[in-house]
Amino acid sequence: MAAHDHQVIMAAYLTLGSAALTLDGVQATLTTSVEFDEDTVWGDLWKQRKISLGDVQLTFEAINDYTDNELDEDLDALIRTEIACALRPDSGAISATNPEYQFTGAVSTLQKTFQHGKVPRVSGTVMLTSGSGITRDVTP
Amino acid sequence: MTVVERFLEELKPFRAQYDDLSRKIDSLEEGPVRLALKKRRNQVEANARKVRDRYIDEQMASDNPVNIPRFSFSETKIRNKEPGAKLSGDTDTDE
Repeated sequence: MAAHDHQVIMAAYLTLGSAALTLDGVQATLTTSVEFDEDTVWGDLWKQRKISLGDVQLTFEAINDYTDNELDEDLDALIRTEIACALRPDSGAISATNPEYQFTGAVSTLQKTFQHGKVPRVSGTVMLTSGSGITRDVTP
Repeated sequence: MTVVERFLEELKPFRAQYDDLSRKIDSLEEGPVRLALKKRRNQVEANARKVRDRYIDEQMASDNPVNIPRFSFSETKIRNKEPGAKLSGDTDTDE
């Protein structure tokens, strides 16, 4: 049986434009999806579908940092502007085993929580805006 | 001029604009103007990313494709930092 080389995410890397979440992040979920348009007609016994549009969406959560010029301000600077997004499993160097996923998008939601007795959290969603889709980059 | 050299050449004005905005951002006190400049800076990097995407698309159609170098104007401020380390500055964008 082949040996597995699974890893636990301990220090992932996420930048949304100039907002660096690597030191404040808690979780990120990258979803790549493809729409299908049904192409089934009379006489078909099985459904037929055409591959249609692709899409990319990223959700993230972080501990917010209200220090001047830090995460909270950098995240506010993402609203209504396009951003270069990059996510990889580990903040170390990019490699074949540490690929970076890149796409150009824009923030569609940004949520900040202010809960009594808790550290402040911020979460959000980034949607694809560029026709180039997502790049899986292993270029150092 | 090779494809990669052409790409790096095309990237230069974006880099210069990004660095120029970074200098302005650093010289400003907190406020809505600084925030607006950060937005512009984000858009500059996004536009540069689109240039790379275009080169990658071109290479996919090429008979002799080459890899287009990766870049990130904003990432180096966190490169090699230990988890838990605090960021400092906002303009450490050496490539």
